[in-house]
This record gives sequence, C-alpha cells and structure tokens, in this order.
Amino acid sequence: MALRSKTSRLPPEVNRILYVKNLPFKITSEELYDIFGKFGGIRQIRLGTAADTKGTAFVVFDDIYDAKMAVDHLSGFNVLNRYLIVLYYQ
Amino acid sequence: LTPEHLHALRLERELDERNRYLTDEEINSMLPTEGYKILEPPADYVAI
Repeated sequence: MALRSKTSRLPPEVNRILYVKNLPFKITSEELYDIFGKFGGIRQIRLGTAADTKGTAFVVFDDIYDAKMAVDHLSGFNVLNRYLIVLYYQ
Repeated sequence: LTPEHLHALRLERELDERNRYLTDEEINSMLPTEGYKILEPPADYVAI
C-alpha cells in the first residue's frame, strides 16, 4: 500500500464515490470487483443496466485514500480494448 | 498542544468525517437508483 501521509490534506473533489464510464456492456461483478478491489475495500458497486446508463457504474470505496489510488491508477485502464474513464462523483 | 499537533488533529477529524461509514440509505440518497442495479459481490470477495 502506498504510504498514506495523514497530514496532507486531500483536495475537496476527492471522495469515495467514483463514477466510471466506457465500461464494456457485458462486464461482470467479478471483473468489476477484481479491477477496483485491488485498491481497497469496496462498499458497493452500482452498474448501469438501462439504455442510457449502460457502460457506466458507481463504485463506492470504504476509504477515501483507496478511491484516490484507484482514480490515479485506473484512468485510461484498458478493459477489453476500451479505455476506462474514472471520475470522482460530485 | 503545538500548532502542528492541532493542525494534525483537525485534519484527522476532517478525514474521519469524510471517511465515516456510509449507510445504505445514505448511498441510496446520493446515487441514482433508476437504471442501475447494485451488484452482488463475488462469493469469495473479501475486502483487503
């Protein structure tokens, strides 16, 4: 785990809920938990199933530093030759 | 209490606030429920 310096203040937009776009439509729970789970404990994943929400998901982490690590490492991550877009949900 | 100590304490408190446990209701109130389904974690999933 990266060293977490408790004294460095996190920017305000950093939070534990990530909004993910450009996901393959047939991605499974196992794959999502595998991709995001290696950054830390996951509180919940919500996958888009409707026509206008397909390919997007909300990933809620337990710890804010894990969410930050995920964003820093996963933006542009290649899943089934699609590049993930990972944003903080405001 | 040195200023640095006070500063660290304030950050700690702020972090705890931003990191406190979110209940299902709170998450439901923040996230859309329309068009989304909550995934079941895989059977062998254990939060590291």
